[in-house]
Amino acid sequence: MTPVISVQNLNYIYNVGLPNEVRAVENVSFDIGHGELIGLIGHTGSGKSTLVQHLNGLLKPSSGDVLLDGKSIFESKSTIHEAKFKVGLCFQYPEYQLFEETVEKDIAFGPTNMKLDKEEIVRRVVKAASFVGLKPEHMKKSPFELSGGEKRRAAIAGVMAMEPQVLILDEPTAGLDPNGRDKILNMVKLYRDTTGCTVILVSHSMEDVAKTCDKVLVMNKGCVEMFGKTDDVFCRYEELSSMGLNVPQVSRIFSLLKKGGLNVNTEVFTVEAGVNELLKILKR
Amino acid sequence: MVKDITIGQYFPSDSIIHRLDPRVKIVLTLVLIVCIFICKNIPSLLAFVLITALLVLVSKVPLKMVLKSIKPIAIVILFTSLLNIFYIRGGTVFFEWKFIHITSKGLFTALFMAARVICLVVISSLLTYTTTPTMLTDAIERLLSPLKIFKIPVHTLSMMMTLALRFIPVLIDEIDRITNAQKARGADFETGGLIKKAQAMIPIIVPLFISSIKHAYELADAMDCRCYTDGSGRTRMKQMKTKASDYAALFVSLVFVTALILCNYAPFITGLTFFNTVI
Ligand SMILES: Nc1ncnc2c1ncn2[C@@H]1O[C@H](COP(=O)(O)OP(=O)(O)O)[C@@H](O)[C@H]1O
Ligand SMILES: [Mg+2]
Repeated sequence: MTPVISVQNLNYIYNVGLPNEVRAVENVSFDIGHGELIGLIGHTGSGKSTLVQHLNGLLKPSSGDVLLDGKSIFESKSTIHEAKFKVGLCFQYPEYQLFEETVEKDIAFGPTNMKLDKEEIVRRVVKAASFVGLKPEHMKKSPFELSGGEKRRAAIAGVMAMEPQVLILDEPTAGLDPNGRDKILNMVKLYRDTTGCTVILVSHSMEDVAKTCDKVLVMNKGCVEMFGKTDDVFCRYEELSSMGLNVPQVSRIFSLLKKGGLNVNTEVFTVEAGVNELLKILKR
Repeated sequence: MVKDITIGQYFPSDSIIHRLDPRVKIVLTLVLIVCIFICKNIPSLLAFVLITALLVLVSKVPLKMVLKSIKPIAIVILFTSLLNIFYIRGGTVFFEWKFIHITSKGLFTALFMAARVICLVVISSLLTYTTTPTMLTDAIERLLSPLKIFKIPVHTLSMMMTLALRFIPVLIDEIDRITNAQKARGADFETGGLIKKAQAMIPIIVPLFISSIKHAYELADAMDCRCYTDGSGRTRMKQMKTKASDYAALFVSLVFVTALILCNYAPFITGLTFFNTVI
């Protein structure tokens, strides 16, 4: 089967030819299959946001290509425009994009730009709102009356309502409390499981990614360093720490336990897995 | 697009002009601007243009950046020069056809107008290229401080100016971010007529206003938390000192201005054919 997204030798340079030139993405290639939930992690400034802005045609690569269902996004103006609807990108701090009088209208902005008919728009808005857990009484409010977490979820609903094949969320949990963070992560998982769409979750938190994703793509200084199953990638603690990525706290505790002489499995990345592992040992 | 805005842009370097006391620079800039309008004959205009070119050279600001500051008004200069050449009558007639008259007076008027406007823009942008915005507002505050006698809140005004300049790059960044976010939701800013394009700006302008107001509140809170008051009796982190080079600059300018005034207004010089007043 052809991958949904295929990135080929992608390079991107900011401020070409100026003294403050930055090579933000360097020779990146990878394939993403249908229905996968991918975590994209990397230190701040590693080029995650720059990379994902290529996947919906917002940035044009300095060299290289992005294929969507086997066809280049950058073929013509119309394919670039279509890519915006096929690949929904929700930026970091998306609450700053809200502008309509009501939450309902704001969520409908994307679908309206797609020139869908009225009933279809209403159906999508209702569906997206229920995914992110916005209640009907929220829908007639001004988006500026919502709480921080609710604003964030309304903005994400605005992208979900376009029903893209691929949903990309750039640091959706940044600046939220643990409760708000878990809500969003559960929502992302639920969204993938019910719609079967591909989801890319950008984050610099290993905990978030460990909890949610099937596969992980690790970026460092503009390059892809690792790409594989979550467990396989997270086993490589030392390499990850050298890239400035903090291994989940649980994993660190377990490797310390092992060093302390307790015979535990160190491949533990979430708190639940940790609890199970400890119970196993206590029963022994 | 928004990245091309050059208002208050500073070009870091360490030329003599960069090191001058900003107060002296502001005063001299004003003096030079007045001088442009004193020049009424070819030799003094030529001298002025030369001085301007010399200043650019000494400031070490690349010629490309200086030209960039003229670019926005190039069309206006060209257009008014053409109008002057074609319509003003007087002096020797070089060419006549229907309503078009090209005369010596028209040519000179166009030449003087173009040279004056260009020098004006170059000199004033040289001031911002060689002085950081904070230095500039600081200096303006000092220069205006005598107005405190009339109960004008000089410090508050200059603080407002500093903040406005400080937030230009922040707002430019914000516009970029919001534009991209709305483009990702399929917003179309390119096609359609004027009205449709104006409507397409709403999704950018509303969030921009909201976040600007938010920035303002946050900044006010932060200033309150650090017990900011209107600054009376406050000492400065950076002292401004007038150095020998500043006095030298003032002296040279004084000589130059006196010479210009003599060339244009002293009868024993303007009487000479070489210094004939042409405008
Ligand atoms: N608009 C821009 N202009 C110039 N440089 C940029 C711009 N955006 C990002 N960069 C630079 O590109 C690099 C990658 O940034 P980014 O993609 O935002 O990383 P991340 O999302 O992983 O934090 C950084 O070094 C950053 O400074
Ligand atoms: Mg980022």
